[in-house]
Amino acid sequence: MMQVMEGSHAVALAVKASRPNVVAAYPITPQTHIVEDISQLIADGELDAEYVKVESEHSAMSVCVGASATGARTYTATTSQGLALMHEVLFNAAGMRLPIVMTVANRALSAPLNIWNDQQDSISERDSGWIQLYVEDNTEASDMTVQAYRIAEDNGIKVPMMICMDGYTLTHTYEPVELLDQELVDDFLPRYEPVDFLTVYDPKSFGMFADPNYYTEFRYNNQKALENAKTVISDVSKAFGETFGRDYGGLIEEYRCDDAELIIMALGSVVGTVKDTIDDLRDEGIKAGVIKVRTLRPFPSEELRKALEGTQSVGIIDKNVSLGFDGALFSEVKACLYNNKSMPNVYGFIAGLGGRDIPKRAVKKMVETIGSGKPSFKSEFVDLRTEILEEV
Amino acid sequence: MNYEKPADDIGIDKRMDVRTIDATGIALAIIGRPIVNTTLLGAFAGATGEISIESIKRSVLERFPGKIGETNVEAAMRAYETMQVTQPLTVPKQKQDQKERKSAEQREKSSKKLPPSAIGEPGGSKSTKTGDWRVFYPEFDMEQCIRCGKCLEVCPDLAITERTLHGKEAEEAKERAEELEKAGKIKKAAAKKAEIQYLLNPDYCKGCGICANECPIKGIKMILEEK
Amino acid sequence: MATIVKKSELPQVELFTSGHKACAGCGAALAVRTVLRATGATTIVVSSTGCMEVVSSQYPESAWKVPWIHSLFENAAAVAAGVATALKALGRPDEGKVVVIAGDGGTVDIGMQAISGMLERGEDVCYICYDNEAYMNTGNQRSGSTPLDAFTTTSPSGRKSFGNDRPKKNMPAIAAAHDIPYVATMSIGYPQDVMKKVQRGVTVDGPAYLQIHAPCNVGWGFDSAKTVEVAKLAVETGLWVMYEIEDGEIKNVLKVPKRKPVDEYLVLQKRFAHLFKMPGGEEQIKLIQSYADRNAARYGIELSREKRDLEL
Repeated sequence: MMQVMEGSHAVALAVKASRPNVVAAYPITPQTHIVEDISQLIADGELDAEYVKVESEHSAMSVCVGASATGARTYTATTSQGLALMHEVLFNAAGMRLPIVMTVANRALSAPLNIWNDQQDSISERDSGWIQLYVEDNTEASDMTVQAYRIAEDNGIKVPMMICMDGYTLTHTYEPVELLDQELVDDFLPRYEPVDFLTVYDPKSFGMFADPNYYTEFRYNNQKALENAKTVISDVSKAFGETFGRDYGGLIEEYRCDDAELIIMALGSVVGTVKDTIDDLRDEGIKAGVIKVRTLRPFPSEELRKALEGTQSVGIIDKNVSLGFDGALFSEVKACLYNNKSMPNVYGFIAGLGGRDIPKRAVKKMVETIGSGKPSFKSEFVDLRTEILEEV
Repeated sequence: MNYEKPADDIGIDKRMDVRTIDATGIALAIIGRPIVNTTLLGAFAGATGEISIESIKRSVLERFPGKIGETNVEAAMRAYETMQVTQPLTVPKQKQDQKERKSAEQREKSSKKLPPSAIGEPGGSKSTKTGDWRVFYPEFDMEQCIRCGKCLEVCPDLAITERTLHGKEAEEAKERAEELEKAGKIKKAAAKKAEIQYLLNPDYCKGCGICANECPIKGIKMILEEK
Repeated sequence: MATIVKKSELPQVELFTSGHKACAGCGAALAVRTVLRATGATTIVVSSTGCMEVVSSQYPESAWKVPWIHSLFENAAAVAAGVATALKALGRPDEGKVVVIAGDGGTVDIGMQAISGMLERGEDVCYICYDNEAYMNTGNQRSGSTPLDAFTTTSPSGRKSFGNDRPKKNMPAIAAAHDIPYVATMSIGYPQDVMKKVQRGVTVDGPAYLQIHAPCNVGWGFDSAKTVEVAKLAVETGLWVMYEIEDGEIKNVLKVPKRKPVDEYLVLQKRFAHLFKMPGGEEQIKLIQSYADRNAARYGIELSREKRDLEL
C-alpha cells in the first residue's frame, strides 16, 4: 500500500517496524524529523523502545555501542557534523563488531557551514568498517532500514551498517512510499539473538586491547566480514523481494546498460535524475546507461568490472571531493579497473556540493564532455560560477 | 638482559646474541637499591664495545654528582668487567629438545581461533606470573600474627589469601599457639585464631611491601629474595 | 537508606584477578579490587581507557571476573547509559548494576560531557572515578584533578615554575550539582569505608558518583610500600576530605582527630620535592596549607575539642 509522506517519516516508520530496543538520538538538520517522529511514536505507545536523549552525537553512538553489546537492537541517525563528531566511535563500533544501524541524512561538512545535501560526510567515513548503502528514493530508504538489520545481524557478518539518504532531497521531500506490513516485517526480521553479549551469567571482557601479535588478525577478520557482506546483501535483497515484492538487486543496479557505450555512475538520489536523462538520450539514439552504485562499502569491484566490460566511456558523478585529490567514487572506480583487460575511459565530475542542484541539463553537459575527447586525470567541477572566482 | 641465570635458560631464538647479567644483584650490592639503568649501561659497553666505559663514567658523574654518581659508576664498572668475559652460547642437546618442544606448544596455543572481536574470558590474566617482577619478598611471622586481615585487604595483587585449618591440623596449630602464649612468646590475640593461616602466592606477589608497611604489629618483613 | 554492614558480613568474593599488569604497589588496582569486593558479581563494569583498563585487558588476559566492556577514552558514561538502558529495554532490569570504573583524566577532563549528560538524564549507573591525580597511563601528565604545585610532565617544576598552577577540580561538587541521589568521596586508605559507600552507590536508584583517592607511587614518587599510608595522610591533613552528599546535603564527613600539617604529606612525594628546595617554595606550602584549612572549615573535619578529649 502506498502513501504520500515525507522521507523522514517513512524512515521513522521503518525503524518502528524493525522493533529496535534502544534508540539514541541527537538532533541535527536535516535528520531532525526522523528522530522527532520516532520520539512521537514512542510517546504514543506505537513503538516500544527506550529513547535516550543524549547530549551529543559522540554519546549517541556510544550509547548504541553499550546497548548493542548488551544484546539490544539499536538505532540512531545523524548527518554531517554529527557524523564527523562520532568518527572515532564508528571505528570502535565496527571493530567491536556490533550490528548497529544508522541513517545518515547526507549533508555537506563545515567549513563553510552548509546544511544542504552532498555526500562528503559519509564518504569521509568509508574507512570505518561500516557497511555503507546509498538509497535513491524514500521507499528504498524505508525498505533498506529493515534489510539493514538483517544484514548487519547476520552471524557471519556482525558489522554496523549506515543507510545514506540525501538530506532534504529525500528526508524532506514528500513521495509516495510503500508502507511496510508489520507482520511481514516480523516474519522477515527475526529477533536479535547475539552469541556474545554482556551478561552476569557469562562474564566476558569486551573491547580488550590487542597488541601487535593480534591486531592484524582482528582487522583481517573485519575485512573478511565486509567481503562476506557482499553475498549477504544480495541474498537479503532477494529474500526481501520475495516477501515484499521489491528486489533492489544487490550492490549495484544497472539501468539500460546492456548495450550501453556510455555509462553514467552515481550514488544516491541523483540517480533518479540521471535515469531520466538517459531515457532522453536513448530517445535521441544515444546508447547510454546508468549504474547506480548502492554500496560504497563493501565496494562492488567485481560487479563493476563485469558491468563495465565492453563499455567505452564512463562518467562518474561525485557529490564530494577529497581535497587535494579527487572525487571518491571516481578514484575508486579507476582503482578497481586498473589492470583489468577491459578499461573504459573514465571521466570524473564533481557536482551538487553544498546542496547545489544537479538538473538534467548538467547531466547532459557531462555526456557532451565525455563525447568531446579523452578524459583528463582529474575530475572537473560542474556548473562552476566562474564569475565570482578570481582564478579557475 | 637483566637476568641472573645464563642466556640458554630463556629459550630465545638461537640466532640472536643474548647476554645476561644479574644487574639487580649488582645494583643492590653496590648502590643499595634495585635501580639497574647505569649497571646495564656498563654491561652494554662490556658486551658490545659500542660505547666506551669512559664515556659512561663521564656521563654518569655529570648527571649524578657526588656519592650517588660514584656508586653508580662502580656498579657500571662491575657489570662492564663481568660482561667482558664471553658467555658460551652453545646449547646442550637435551636443553635444545626442550626448547623446540616448548615453541611447538606455544605455536599450538596461538593457533586457537580468534573471536570476532577482542573478547576475553574472565580471569585470563592469571596466566601471567607477575611474581617474576619482585626483588623483595614478604616474610610473615605467623606466630605473632594477630589475624587482623589487614595484609589481605591491602594487597593490590590479591596475593595473600586465608586458609582455615580443620581437624587434626587445626588442633595441632592451636596447641602450638597455646604453648607459645604460656611461654610468654606471643600475645593472646595471636593465639586465639591459630587455625587461620595466611598464605602468600609467590606466583603473583610483586614485592611492593604494602602489607609489611600496614601490618599493625610489624610482623611482615621484606627480605631480598634468593633466586 | 544506608545499610552499615559489619566487616564480617562483607562479601569475600574476589572479582579482580592476580596477574594484572599494574605497577607494584598500585593504589588504583587496590581501589578496583576493593570496589569489586563490594559490588559483588551482579555487576557490569564499563571502563574508560586508562591505567586500570590497560593493565587488566591485554587480549586475551583479562583480570575481570565480572562482565566488562571498554570502548573509548571519554565515553564510559555514555556506554554505561547504553548498557543500563538496554537491560531495561530487554526486560533484564534486575540482572545487575552498571558500574563505571574510570580514571580522573577520563572523568573530569575528556569525559565531562558524557558524565554530565548521563547524570542529568538520571541513568541507573554508579560512576566510580579512581583519582590518581594525573594521566598516569601515559606517563604522568597533568589533569584537571592534579592538585596545586604537583610536578607532572606537562606541569613540571623548574626555574620559572612551581609545577601545576591550578587547584584540584571539585568533581564531587559538579556531580552533586546534577541533583543526583548519592555522591561520595573515598580513599584506599580506608577500605572498609570504600566498600560501605560502594554498596550504597550500587543500591541507590538512579545515578551515583563516587570518587576514590588512589595514590600512584610511580607518578607521585614514593616507595611502593607506602601507598596506603600516603592515602591516609591525604585525609589526615585535610587535603582529601571524605564525605557523602544526599539530597544536596553534605553528610557523614570523616572527622580527623588531630589534623596534621600538609608538610607531612607533601614531603613523602617526589612530585612536591621542589617545594622544599626552591625559593618561594615555603610560601607555596603555606598556600597548600590554606587549602587544607579551608577544607577543614568548610566540611567540618576536625573533632571538637571535647570530642577529641573523649576519643583520647
